[in-house]
Amino acid sequence: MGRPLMVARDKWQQPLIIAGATAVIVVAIGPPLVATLGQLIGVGDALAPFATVQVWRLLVRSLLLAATVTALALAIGVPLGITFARARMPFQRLLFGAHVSILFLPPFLPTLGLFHLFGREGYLGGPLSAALLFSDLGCALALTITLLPAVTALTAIGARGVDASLEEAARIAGGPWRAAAFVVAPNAAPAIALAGVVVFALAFSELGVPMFLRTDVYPALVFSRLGGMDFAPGEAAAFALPLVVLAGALMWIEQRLAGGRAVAALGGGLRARAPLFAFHPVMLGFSVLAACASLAPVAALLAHGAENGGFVEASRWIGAAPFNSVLAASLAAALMTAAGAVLGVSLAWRGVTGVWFDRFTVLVFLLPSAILGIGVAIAWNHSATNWLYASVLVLVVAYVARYSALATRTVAAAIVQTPRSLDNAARTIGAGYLERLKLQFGIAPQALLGAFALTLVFSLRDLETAVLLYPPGGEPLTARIFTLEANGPPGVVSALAVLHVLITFGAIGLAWLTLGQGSRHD
Amino acid sequence: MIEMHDVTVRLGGRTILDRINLSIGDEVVALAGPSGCGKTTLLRVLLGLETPAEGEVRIHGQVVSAPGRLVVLPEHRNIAMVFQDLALWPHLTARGNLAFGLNARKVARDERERRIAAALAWVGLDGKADKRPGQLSGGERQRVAIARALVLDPCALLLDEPFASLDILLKHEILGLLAHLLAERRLPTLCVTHEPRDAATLAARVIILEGGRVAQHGTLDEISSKPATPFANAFARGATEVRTSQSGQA
Repeated sequence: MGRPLMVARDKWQQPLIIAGATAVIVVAIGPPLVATLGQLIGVGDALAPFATVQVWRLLVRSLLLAATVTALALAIGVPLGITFARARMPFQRLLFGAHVSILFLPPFLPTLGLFHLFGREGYLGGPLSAALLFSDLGCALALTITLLPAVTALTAIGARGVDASLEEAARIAGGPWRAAAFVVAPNAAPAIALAGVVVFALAFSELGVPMFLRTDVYPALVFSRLGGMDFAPGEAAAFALPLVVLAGALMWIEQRLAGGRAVAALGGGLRARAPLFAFHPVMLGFSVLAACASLAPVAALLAHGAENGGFVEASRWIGAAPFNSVLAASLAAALMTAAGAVLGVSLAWRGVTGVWFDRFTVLVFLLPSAILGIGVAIAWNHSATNWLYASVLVLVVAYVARYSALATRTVAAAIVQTPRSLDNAARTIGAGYLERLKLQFGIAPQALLGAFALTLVFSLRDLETAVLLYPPGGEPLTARIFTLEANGPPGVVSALAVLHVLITFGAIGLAWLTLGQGSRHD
Repeated sequence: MIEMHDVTVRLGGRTILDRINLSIGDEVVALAGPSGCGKTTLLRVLLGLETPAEGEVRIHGQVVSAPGRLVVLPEHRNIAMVFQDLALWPHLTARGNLAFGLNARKVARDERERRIAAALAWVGLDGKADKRPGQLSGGERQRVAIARALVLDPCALLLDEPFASLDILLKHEILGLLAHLLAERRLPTLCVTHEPRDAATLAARVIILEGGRVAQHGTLDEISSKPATPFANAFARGATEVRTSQSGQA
């Protein structure tokens, strides 16, 4: 007789860990969705609010705005992303970092900077530029400037992930331009499609920029039913119906055009190789312009804050807002990273749980935040759950619900780079699920750090959910700046905006340093 | 004719190729050597994807690479290559893969279609023009890669271990096809290989590369009669055995 089989130990480990991770997501997303649905069923005639033409006009207007922003961002961002990824130029990383930096800020902050640049009394402005800024086109351009880096960055990562030999074969046969247009871009298509969907969703759900530029948009209609004189959660839920349909459509497009292929395309983006394009001054100029477009609004905020004594006055107005921001965002990022670590590995390995929870969280990410706001408010605003609703935890729940997809996708994109045979080797020698997870993150520690940094920054930049839900005394910095913008001293608003920029970039800088150290294996 | 004169390549502070001299006329030359000896880098220098630190590369007497610079860009050298992983563009059909280079050369539509049809016929893929690489078998993909290289009527052909992933029967078939196509065309061809069988079937001469230097070059008979290194000895012996068995079968 041969030797006996190994004793199966820790057989409950995997289901327990996966159940824990899914519970985090279900607790954050489930109650708001169920509550919104319940509210909708409770409304006598859910379609009654759609009887007026104005509502439909507003919906079409918002769709056109988001479509314009997406078209502009793709038209500029795809060539720019390929330029950053595949062209030889001096200060490439610096220019790319400067360009992408704006993406990590709440869009209304750079818009405030654009106002100080191009407003009637702005540094470069006059009546004409002010009229343009406060028009539909101005709103579209402001959103394009703030969301363009999403397309640039995802295209760049996708382009760098294209197999080197495919690119070289095209370069030899047709030269660099043809190679970029007909081989690199089509093979980076899943990443580009993902970028298009993300930009459309973010542009459509954006509240701060249209409200600041006095452009009427559909999500503001929902927002208005949740605060002040017009408080009508049932009607808000009804108005949210088309947004749910839209989010479903976006998710279908994302799954069809990107989905798992986007994870693979983004995961392959770290290999170094010789540039496709030689140095070209036009490409350098294009990249410098892109970097300046991102930096100029922040520079304007800095100048405006300093000129108007905002930095001296800021301490009187700031309160605990920065602490609230960092606390809620850190707690949420830690939870999202923990859940994303498990679900991201499952997604990378195409496990059923990972794939379905990815779809679920992507759907919520694509939902306009106003819907999530309604759901969270209805679900948790009860005396029994007041301990959560009246504390910073309500923001944590909302952030986890909204941004979990980012953690899962970031982890999955890093894990797909690790050969599956490494896990199989651990499995064959009897490693438990937890040990196998540890092995994965030992090989790719950047997965966890990247997921934490990304979800932290997105939670810090959140305005739409925060402004709806922040508890008394728990106002985060974005909400503080947004409310002060209406009636506070302009210099202080600019100074607080600069403080927000510093906090965000401080967090990114720390993550960058840790990431650099954590990913060394030598 | 393709030539390298005293070509040295340094990457990341390491010397990958060290004073390489070679000259290939209208013949097939096999380039063999242990893993990491610089074979692929040598091909990349010929293609213009790497720049030599020292020395020159010439095609038909014209300098195409000089120390530290590319005199002629890769896309203007008219050298075709069959990549180790084939590098077929997955989003294009077989026709699209063949048309890519012809479009770049602004070949008129009728002429382009004629050349694509002819190239697919050479490799026995008539009727498969509208299939994407993912819809083709391993052998068919190999044939598309060969057709893609030859349809451009290149002035030289480089093969980077193109049979590495094939099973023995398929390899036999593709080797035979390639030997036939190359015999018809008589163009300078450099074939990187680990396999003595490939060299014995395709090549008139062999270059043995070791540690970034040419350790030995000559016909298989010349190398096997006086091998310069253990690798050259093993390679030439293997190739000679294949030749003997091939002539015995004939």
